[in-house]
Amino acid sequence: MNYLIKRVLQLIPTFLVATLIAFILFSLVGDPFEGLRQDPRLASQVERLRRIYGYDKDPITRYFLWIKNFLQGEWGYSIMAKRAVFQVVMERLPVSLSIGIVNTVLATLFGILLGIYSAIHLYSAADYAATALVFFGMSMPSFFFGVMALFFFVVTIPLFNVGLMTPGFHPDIANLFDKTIEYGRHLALPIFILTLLGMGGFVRYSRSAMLEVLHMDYIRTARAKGLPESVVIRKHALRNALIPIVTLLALSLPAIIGAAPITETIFSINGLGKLYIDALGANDIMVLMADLTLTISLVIIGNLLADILYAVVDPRVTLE
Amino acid sequence: MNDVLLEVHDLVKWFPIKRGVFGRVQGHVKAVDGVSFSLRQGETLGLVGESGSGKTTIGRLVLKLIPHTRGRIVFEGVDITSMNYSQFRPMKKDMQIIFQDPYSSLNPRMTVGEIIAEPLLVHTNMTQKEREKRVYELLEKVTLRPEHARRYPHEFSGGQRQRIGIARALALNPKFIVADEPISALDVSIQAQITNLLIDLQRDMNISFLFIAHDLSVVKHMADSVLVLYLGKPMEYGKNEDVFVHPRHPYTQALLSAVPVPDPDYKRERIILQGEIPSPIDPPKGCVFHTRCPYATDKCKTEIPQLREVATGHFVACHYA
Amino acid sequence: MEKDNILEIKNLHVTFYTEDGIVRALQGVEYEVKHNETLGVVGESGCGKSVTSLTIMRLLPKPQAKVEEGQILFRDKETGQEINLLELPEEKMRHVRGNRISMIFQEPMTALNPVYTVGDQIMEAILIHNPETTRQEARKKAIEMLKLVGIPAAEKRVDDYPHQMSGGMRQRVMIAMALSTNPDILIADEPTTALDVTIQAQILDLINRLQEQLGMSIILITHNLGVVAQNADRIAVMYLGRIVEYAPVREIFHDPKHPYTQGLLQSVPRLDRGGLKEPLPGISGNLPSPYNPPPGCKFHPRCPYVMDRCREEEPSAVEISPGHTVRCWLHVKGEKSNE
Repeated sequence: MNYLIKRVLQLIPTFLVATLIAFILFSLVGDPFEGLRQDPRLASQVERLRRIYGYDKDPITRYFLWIKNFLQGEWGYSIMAKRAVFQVVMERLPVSLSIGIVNTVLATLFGILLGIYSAIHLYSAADYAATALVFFGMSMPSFFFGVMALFFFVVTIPLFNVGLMTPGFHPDIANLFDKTIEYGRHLALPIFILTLLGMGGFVRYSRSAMLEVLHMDYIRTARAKGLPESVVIRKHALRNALIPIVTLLALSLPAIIGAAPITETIFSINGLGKLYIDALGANDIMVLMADLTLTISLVIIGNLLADILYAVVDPRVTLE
Repeated sequence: MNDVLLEVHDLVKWFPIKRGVFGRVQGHVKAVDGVSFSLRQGETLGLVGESGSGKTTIGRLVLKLIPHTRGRIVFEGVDITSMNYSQFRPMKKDMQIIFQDPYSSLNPRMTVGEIIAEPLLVHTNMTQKEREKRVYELLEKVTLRPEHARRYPHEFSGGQRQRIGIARALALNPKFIVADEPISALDVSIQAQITNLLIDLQRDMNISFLFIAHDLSVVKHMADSVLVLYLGKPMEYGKNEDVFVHPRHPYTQALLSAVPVPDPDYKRERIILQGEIPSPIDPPKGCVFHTRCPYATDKCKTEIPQLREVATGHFVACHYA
Repeated sequence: MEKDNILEIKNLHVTFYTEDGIVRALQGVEYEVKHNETLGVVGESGCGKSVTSLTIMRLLPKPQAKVEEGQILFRDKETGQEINLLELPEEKMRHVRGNRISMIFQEPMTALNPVYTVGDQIMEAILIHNPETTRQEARKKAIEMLKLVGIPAAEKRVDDYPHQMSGGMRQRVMIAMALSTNPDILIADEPTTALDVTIQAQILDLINRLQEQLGMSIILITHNLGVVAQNADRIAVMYLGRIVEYAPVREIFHDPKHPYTQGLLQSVPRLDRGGLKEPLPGISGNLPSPYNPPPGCKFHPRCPYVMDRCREEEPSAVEISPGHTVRCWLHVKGEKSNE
């Protein structure tokens, strides 16, 4: 327990350093209010904003000003949306989360299952097929694959829908059931593509983890005991193969808020990924920082989670 | 002849045990704790012991591959313990090592010729031609063929790889070689060949060996004198005959009786030690061997026995020897 | 099958089809194991000593390994029936494996599953072969077995994970697990090779004691001649997939007939004899590659007595005295040369 508290406390400097680096890098890009200044009516406002965000001071002081506000829920003002950043992000978060969670769960689940199946049936037709699928998924760029999917399944055969993933989604449909179906028609394609592209790593990883375990001496011991092969695999091999996989699982936590700016852009989904791309174009530093800070937090939490899970699944590892 | 080449006085090596997030030192593993010995030119000293005995650490220490904690190492009358790297560097060519695992100790991306020539490149200013000639000489010495120089380590069997390792160690005509379990990873018939090779080389080149082994039969065959270690401490030290014919320490006696002898009718008193080898992190108080010693008394539990000379040149660390 | 045999291996041929080539791992291996005796199987790497035992257990790696020919006859003590293990359906084989024939391995450090307690792993063996046993009974039996193999505080250690034990302790756990089903045969594949000398002595002593106490046959596989000399009744010496000599232990050590056996015995320095730095006669040359074995007698490139015939024709096993067979042209009477 003591160890856990220590570990959590250690996260704080990591978080601060990571956000500081991000902040300074964005500061190098230049003055975010440059665009607003073009409009003479806003001149006095711009000066006020510059003072609020500390643009009359050095970047480090500005960072501390920002982090203090950020932690209090004051995420700043989006130049692009002309609204509070917090509002903008919270609006987009549910969209990204619904894609991100579903796609991460599907990618990890199918990835791990397929990888383990491949390892058990090494060099079988299924194994080769899985390998082919993985290479397809890992080498296919999402902008190409996405556009092709768009062309075939939305334009040619209107099976799915795109766009309009904005607040107040389809106000014309009142029935909750119909609304869910419509929601699905919008999200199915990007989720499918992200799953296919994302599971490759899990297939490779769990396949090699399982293969390694299957060559262990204790698997031979388990067989020599007279256990049926199914028990050898399920009880002795799987449990050990899952140890490294669990770590990978925890580390993929950031993916749930949508690390898919390209796919979101292609399918015109107004999620955090697309927001990030748009903010980059508009040099909207407050939005960029908010988005990055969320990701940084999830990376850090994922790492902590990985360590904890590791100790839970492997009796050789203790948290001390 | 028979001058002392290497002298080790009261050598100590403690490894810190680090715990916690900030790696605070919580204690020490006394891997080597007060070991002294001397080795003459052209002779072999056998270091014998089980896991945790510190025998491998001693081999690393005398070559200054790892820093020592206390004690003195004198090579050819020169104290090398206080030397810094640049002072010690010229002496390194006289002191070489052969490893247990012939598979991992050779760089797989270098040809055998390059591997053997490497020390020549570092320590001498031989020309390319001279180095080549020397490599062929060395290959012949370890009964490999000149054409082997162009091949890579993976093309060789375990025994041949050990020969390559030996050729590399011999490249600079060393006076002293640490042989760390040089045959224990090899097949039985190959072990005999390498043993013979080492003995021949010693005779021809007057090399001194620090021979580290857990197999007592081999040490009896190879070593002029023997040092028996247990948990980093010397238990018994003497000439081959002292240790193998007249062992005085209960641990030596037990070790000898545990060695399987390839004769179904060989009769001897079997001493089967009870219990496990204690962890060197938390060694027993008093005599470190008392927890497994069949003759242990209360005195052994509290008082550390000093290494005493029980006969000329025969030392034993036991209250009752 | 002879009456006092529990296991007979007949003309066993096993081939490995690997990416690097074909290895004829076993070529006509034959041996028998008698009730309550210990058979020592000795040889260097690649001789097939472990492959033979994995074949008995039907644990050869699939799909590379293939049994081409031969029989492994096993006498079921309960029914007195002879069964050919190679023809047994997998379902039935599972009742033999780990139950009638158990096995322990060289690496006690890795042979136990790190994520389960040693108690769980012993209980698993008991429960799978005794379906009517309850978990409590199995746990009691596991503790009893741990006591039997000399683990102190067995009631507590039963809940230990393997990493909390030393190598010697883990090998004891392996033995406890293997013997928890009262097997007729224990196959011990290099059981002490990875252990310290004093621990090796303990484990060998334990195996001998348990054999007397429980009554079982042991196949002791090792490269260490000393280990078999004092623990085996009969010895099979293997070289490159063949048994080159097979005899009672005293004949192997006092009157070895095959040049390989002789060389092997002369390769090891002895505690009981031999002078300091005396050359060991040993065996010259290297072990041939199993992918590319020499023609004729497999030992001929290293044999000091090699004859022309050895280079061309492989000798078959000849019984030179009761229970003592040799595969060597030196021991084949001229006119009786077979085939």
